[in-house]
Amino acid sequence: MDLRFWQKKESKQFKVLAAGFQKRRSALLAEFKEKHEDVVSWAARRKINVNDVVSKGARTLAASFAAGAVLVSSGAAQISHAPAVKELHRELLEGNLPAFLSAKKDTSDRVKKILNTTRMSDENVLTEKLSKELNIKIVSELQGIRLNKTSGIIGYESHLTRYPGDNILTHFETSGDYKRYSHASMAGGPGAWGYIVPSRQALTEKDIERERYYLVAQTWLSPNWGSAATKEWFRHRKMIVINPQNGKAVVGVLEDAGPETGTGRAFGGSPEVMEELGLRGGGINVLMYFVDDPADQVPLGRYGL
Amino acid sequence: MSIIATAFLKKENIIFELQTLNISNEEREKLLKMADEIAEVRLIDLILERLEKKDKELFLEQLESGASEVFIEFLREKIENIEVVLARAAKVLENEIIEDIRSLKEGKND
Repeated sequence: MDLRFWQKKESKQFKVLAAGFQKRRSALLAEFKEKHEDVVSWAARRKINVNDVVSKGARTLAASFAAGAVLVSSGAAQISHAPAVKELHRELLEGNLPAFLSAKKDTSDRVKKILNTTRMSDENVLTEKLSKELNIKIVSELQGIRLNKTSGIIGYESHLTRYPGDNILTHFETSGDYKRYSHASMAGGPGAWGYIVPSRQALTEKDIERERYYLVAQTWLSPNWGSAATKEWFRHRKMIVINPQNGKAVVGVLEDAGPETGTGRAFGGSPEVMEELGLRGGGINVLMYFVDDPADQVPLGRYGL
Repeated sequence: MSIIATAFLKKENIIFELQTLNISNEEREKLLKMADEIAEVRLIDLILERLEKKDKELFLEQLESGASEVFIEFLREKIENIEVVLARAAKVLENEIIEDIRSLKEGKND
């Protein structure tokens, strides 16, 4: 039985126009493939059909612009406030109210005063005063381990590659962060302890924060250096960096080893750390101490805001 | 009609022209979908031809990993007035499609 009898007959005008549209699309696709040979190669390497790259790409593009229009109208300032709100919730949820309340005061003037009235060589006196003022335990030696220095020049580092394939486009959570920090390039590969996570899927909010506020120190010059256990001890180690010129303090974690001894620098900070410290130009002396925080309650980021 | 045409093409104008043809609603929907597919090629081509090789790869990687506001900021940074550029291209395409439909009515394609 010929089932075509039951099929609806297409109109002549439809057939002519559909054929014209089809021809136009085929010509455009052929031209596209000829013009963008690198895209064809890229798709072949990933075993993706070029036609799918085009259609999926265009749909993503349109959807993103539709969403982006809302962001533009609401303004970048609102975007930049989002992490602060998030931080507030985290603090309250974790029940760390005293630290939260303390952190909500701008402490920079008082920190500056402590630094101006205490001799840098009186390390214990200095860390005690800072601990009292900031309401967190700050020490130059933790569990018998020290760094080679507690003060020195800090350098402006690139963004760490958190997982294989992480790049300047996948790296930021908000357009506000992209605008503020994309000028700093990505590090060419993993840090001294390898990638933070093995894949994008494994990335957690904590990992994102760790990279955002990562610090670099010359761990191999530590007087305690010499075993795999010591190397591992330094990984994710919570530290506080203080800019003595303005009293600003940032809590971060060690995620890489460096800088090289010949650079004249003792420490490094992520672009986010450096901006929070008011050190866009980099290259000034800072103080860096351990934060004794076994319960992991002290949040990363600018302290005193 | 999919989001691509909704976002960039003035579908009202195309629908208006299609309504002047002797075609069914189902056929009109099919034609709109085809117009959509043409727009997809045009728009993605427009973006790629304005990006440097290294940025093209980043763009494609990002497309694979999904949409995000970062991705739009990147394009805005790399292509000046990208919304205007895309809107102009969409307008040209819209005119071409309308021209096709009018030609059909006038019997030029018949």
